[in-house]
Amino acid sequence: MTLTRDAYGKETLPLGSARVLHPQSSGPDGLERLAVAWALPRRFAFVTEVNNTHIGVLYIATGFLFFLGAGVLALLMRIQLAYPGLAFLDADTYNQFFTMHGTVMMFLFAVPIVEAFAVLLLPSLLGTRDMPFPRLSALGYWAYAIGGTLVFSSLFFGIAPDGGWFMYPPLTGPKFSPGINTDVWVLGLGFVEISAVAAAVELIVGILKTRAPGMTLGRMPIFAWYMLVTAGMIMIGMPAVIAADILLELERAFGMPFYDATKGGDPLLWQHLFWLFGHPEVYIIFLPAAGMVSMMLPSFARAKLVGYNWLALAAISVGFLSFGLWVHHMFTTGLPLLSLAFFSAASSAIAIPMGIQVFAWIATLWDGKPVLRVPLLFILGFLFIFTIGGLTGVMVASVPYDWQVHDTYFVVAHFHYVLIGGMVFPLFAAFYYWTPLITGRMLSERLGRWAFWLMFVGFNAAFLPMHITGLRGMPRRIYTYSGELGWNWLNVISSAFSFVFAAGVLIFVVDIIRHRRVGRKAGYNPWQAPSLEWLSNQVGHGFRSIMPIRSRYPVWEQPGLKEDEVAGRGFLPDAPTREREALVTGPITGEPEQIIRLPGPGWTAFLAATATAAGLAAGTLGLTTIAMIAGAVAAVAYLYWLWSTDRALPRQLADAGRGVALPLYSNDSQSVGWWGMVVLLISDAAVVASFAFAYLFLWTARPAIWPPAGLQLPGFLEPALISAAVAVAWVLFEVADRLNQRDRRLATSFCFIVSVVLAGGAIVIGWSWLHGLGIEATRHSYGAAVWTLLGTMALHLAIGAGMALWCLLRLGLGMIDSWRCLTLRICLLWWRFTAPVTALVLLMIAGFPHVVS
Amino acid sequence: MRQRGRLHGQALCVAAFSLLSTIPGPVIAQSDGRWKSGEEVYVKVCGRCHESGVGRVIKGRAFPPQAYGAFVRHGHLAMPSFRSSEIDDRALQALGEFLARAPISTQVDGDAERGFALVASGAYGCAACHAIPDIRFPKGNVGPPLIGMAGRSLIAGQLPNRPDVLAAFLRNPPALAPQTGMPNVGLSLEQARDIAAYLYTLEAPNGP
Amino acid sequence: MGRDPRWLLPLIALSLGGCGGPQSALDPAGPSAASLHRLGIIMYVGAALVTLLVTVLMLVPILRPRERPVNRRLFLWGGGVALPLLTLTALVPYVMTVGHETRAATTSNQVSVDVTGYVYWWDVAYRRPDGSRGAASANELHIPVGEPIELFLHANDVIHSLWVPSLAGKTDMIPGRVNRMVIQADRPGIYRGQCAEYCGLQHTLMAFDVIALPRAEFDTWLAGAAQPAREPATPELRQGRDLFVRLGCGVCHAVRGVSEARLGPDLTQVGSRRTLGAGTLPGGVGNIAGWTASAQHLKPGNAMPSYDQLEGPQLRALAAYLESLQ
Repeated sequence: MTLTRDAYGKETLPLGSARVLHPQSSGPDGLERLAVAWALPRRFAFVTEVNNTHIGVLYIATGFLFFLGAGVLALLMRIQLAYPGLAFLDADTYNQFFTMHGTVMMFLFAVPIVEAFAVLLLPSLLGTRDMPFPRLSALGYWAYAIGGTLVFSSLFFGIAPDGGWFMYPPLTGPKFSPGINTDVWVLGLGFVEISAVAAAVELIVGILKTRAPGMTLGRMPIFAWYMLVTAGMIMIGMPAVIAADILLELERAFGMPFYDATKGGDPLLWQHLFWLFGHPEVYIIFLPAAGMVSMMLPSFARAKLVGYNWLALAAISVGFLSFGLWVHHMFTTGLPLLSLAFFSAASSAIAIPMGIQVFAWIATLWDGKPVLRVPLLFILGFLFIFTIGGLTGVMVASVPYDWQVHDTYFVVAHFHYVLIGGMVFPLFAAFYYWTPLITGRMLSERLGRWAFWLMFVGFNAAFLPMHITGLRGMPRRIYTYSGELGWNWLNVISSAFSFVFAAGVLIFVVDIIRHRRVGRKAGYNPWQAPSLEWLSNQVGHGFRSIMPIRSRYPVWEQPGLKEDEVAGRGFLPDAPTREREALVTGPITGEPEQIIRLPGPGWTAFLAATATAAGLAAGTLGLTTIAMIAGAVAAVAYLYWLWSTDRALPRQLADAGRGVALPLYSNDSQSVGWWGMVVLLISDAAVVASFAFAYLFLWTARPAIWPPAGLQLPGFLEPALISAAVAVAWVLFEVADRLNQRDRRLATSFCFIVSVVLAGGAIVIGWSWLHGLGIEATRHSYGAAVWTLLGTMALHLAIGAGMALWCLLRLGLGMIDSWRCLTLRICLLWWRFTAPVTALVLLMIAGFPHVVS
Repeated sequence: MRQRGRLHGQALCVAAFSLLSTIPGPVIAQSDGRWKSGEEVYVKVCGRCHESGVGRVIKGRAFPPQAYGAFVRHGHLAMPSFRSSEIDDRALQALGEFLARAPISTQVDGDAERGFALVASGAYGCAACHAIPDIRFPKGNVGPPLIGMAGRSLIAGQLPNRPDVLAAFLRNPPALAPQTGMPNVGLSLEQARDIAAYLYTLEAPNGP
Repeated sequence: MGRDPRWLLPLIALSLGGCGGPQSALDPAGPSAASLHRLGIIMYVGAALVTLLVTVLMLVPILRPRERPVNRRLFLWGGGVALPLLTLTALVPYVMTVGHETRAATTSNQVSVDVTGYVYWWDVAYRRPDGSRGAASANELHIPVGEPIELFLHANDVIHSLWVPSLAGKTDMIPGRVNRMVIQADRPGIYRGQCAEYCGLQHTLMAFDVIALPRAEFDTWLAGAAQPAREPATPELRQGRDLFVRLGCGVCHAVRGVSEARLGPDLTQVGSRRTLGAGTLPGGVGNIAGWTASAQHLKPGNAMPSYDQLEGPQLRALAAYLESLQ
């Protein structure tokens, strides 16, 4: 382990030098200083807290409330379907209910709550004190909580979305859904996208950069592997639905016809983009749950996980494969059989990593002496239900069979088996398992068994008959049915047992409420788990000190770990800068690299989230004034937030404990900010790629009317000019970084100014180019696609120009210099992405017509 | 099995009544002095029309006995007149007294279960216009809801609500209520009685 | 109980027995639905066996904790890799063969029909040999028994999906695209179908019937369907026809020989239809009257207004006229 690092380029400082920032001691004073730095704000200021344990618990509680709300909708729908021809809910209400049930369960419950578990548990599983971007977690949470609540409450005003949770246009287009219901859906999804992308950035950087020293990739708890894959899938997959959403809203608000077949659009474009995300979405929900199961099993099997490497590889291959089988939601759309064969095979292939996981878990049970406690009951329930869901999954992946069961109650049964089996049962196992970690008290074993059996029996008896209901011809999303079709008994059974399932959930809720007073005290590590989270007290700073890790199962295999941790014999037993701190470690080796100072409580994230939510909601409802005020508040909050990053820090090493001194700042690829930007840019690239996909897809799908008749095709002159301008702007940014290293501030400033001018010039040229060609955004989907692509790139250039001005300002104020230059380098990353991508987009728009003709 | 006759005009109905009225003639001719009671006259002669839904319901209307005599001797609308060679004065007197005392029929000669099956089949479209308590879909609102038919005073707002009237109305609504929008859906007499029987099982929500 | 397949028999009987019904994939009446049903049974049995295996395997260690370490290779390679791999290698090619079979099938004097989805009903038009639009119907598809029928699927507004489970799987109707589908009925009968892609408020009330007739009867029917509607024979029917014209019914509906419009269902044979409003109500004069007077009450949000301004006799005349269109 390198103890001193060549962190500032030239200086190498030995430990013990006068320039090392020392905490006074590692004794009780150190603990006091830690407690002060990590203290929770009092009373209403709790909304300013950003620590992961705090945000994580709020996040999970909010997600669970949405689960209950959407569950009530399901029960009401089951009442309506209990008998043929009932008029308990009218058609409109029913349509809103099933749309909201799906939307809320998927976007406001399943995805957020697994992210929430990761936010809550990952830092302590990885042996660190917090996620690397606490304010980003807080922003994600508050945007989701406020936005989700607004969207859910649309039900009470009868303006809830009513197009089904996957919202196929043209039904959801401006012509057939003129009301704001669909906009509410887009709004809700917008918040989830914000929180999901925030979580993806947070999780990837957190897992790769802030682990305990010595925790190599191979020693990570398996949950971290699962979350890494999940976050990667969010990073790549979520942009597809963001793009689809943007295109839908452009069509609805501005009449840009992407999905309107009469104007050169294609409804299938939505389905491709939506399922390109929507299928991975299922695994985004399942993988974290599988990760949690893999974490819990060893505790109950009293044995190490069988096939750790297999499981990690299985998770990765699921991640990859999941992007190759979105078309299996589109088997009935009349696509050529050959391409369906490919997707059918790919869909079936995913059975292999799934099989590996199931058998690895079973082997773990065989390997040990299982102790049958409530969490293990839920895990066994999960294995049973999920296996059935997976097997019916193979059935629906069989193209011709899917022609029968697609969009019927068979599929309803299938995905409830997959999602409730694959996600809700593990989640309840996790609730029973980790609640003692958070509250310090155990949930009741007796009530837990009741909850499990009611849920297990209720679930199977409600959903197993639905397979037959579907095969006997009942399509999904119908609010009633005729009594002569042979579905009556099946529906009564499903309805009755859905209430049994709900009773199980209710018992859990009762247990959660009562255990705070009467629950048995948990004490340290009640399940004799092998993982690190039980060392943390889960309040404030979590670990007394951060222990070096030498094993995958540290609590089992590193004797004296708890004692050393409590005695402060690990890293960072103190707060050298008197603020919240965490270790940054190498992504592969887990070698300590840096101490980062983490932001503490502050209004920025809460204010930004609230203002964003209020602004978007007001905009959707057409309250322009409020929207503009809220937008301005949000803008100020975001700018203040950015301004407060890249703070002035002591140019010293700091004592990290155990005789190691580490720098407090890094201005290159070692820093978490740099990594965060890279993740964000990968997501951004996926958005741009989705727009490009829209352009190419529409062209190839509608060759007869693309491009529209009488259109003058774009030439190469302007694209070349724009590309050249952008390229020069980028090069100037690179030069600015070099000049800044030599402290040539005037020349650096000049580079910034010229790149702003060039970016502006490029935008102006592009604008006049499109106008000159007579390409209109609303007449034909060709124009809409071109304008969207170039508009996106113009936005990138504008942001790039804004970054140049930002750097210019900070340079002028002395906030950028040759050492403190992370801001400049992160902006440089933006340009390194924007310039080549702009050129590629232009090349495609100018060149593709020639390729086709 | 559905009759598709469309001779619904009022004029045609009158003509049909006239044709039917020729039937009683020979029956009466052989039986002068042989009538045992007014009821027998009613069952064997009057009932041919008045119990079958062809003529109006005359039981239970509590006219003075002479009024019935006047109708019989002079005829009324489509009803032919009957001479004393066909029904002697004594028999007519007995008939008048029988009818004046004849109770309102509370039972219709039909099977409510079969009637419900006919309604529920949907083939006659009852529920397309009327909300019917036992039918969950459709719940029509073209005509009045049929809940409380058992205690309702008038059929179609103009006819006394009695089983025989109801059955006749169901068979051919426009014949009894010319301005109604309810079409003749081609029910047989038996079917109409069954449905009427069913409708009388529909009590008003707050008791009879 | 282990691997004894007899254990599964009651299970299979339970899931397959008594599964008839007018709209059931478990009661196939055509070659396509039959081969899909066969495929289904193979997969149900396979799935039941795998579920049993997994359940037993996971319960064994709970009930009988073992002392010696587990054979990891057997579990991971055998259960995790070999089991799915072998099963799927056998299954996928078979599945694709079934897929090819069900999409193929053409004959020389084939009946070709254009079916177009509207919110919330189906337009049915038989292609003449030259490809032009011949006899038309709505919400009912008459086909000859024992012949593959080629359907061309269109959508007028939003996405719909045509599904007659007893005959074949479903195929979507997508605006801007034309999908092809082949159906065949092996025995005469009436097979119910329903829209399978959520298409808006009244997606629920968008059913239709396939009526399979022996070839001779079908030919008679088709010839009749191509004829113009008969002249009304009585004063009341004439009054009804006049009302049909005067009220503007013909702006949306076609009655061959009276009006041409195609915004609503073709009514040339509406009197003989089994249902009204795409399965909302049965046919017949009573339902026609009720539907005409209160279409918005019975199926809110459909494109037909409620003709509630009619006087009773007018309503009866109009309904009688429509019912006379056989």
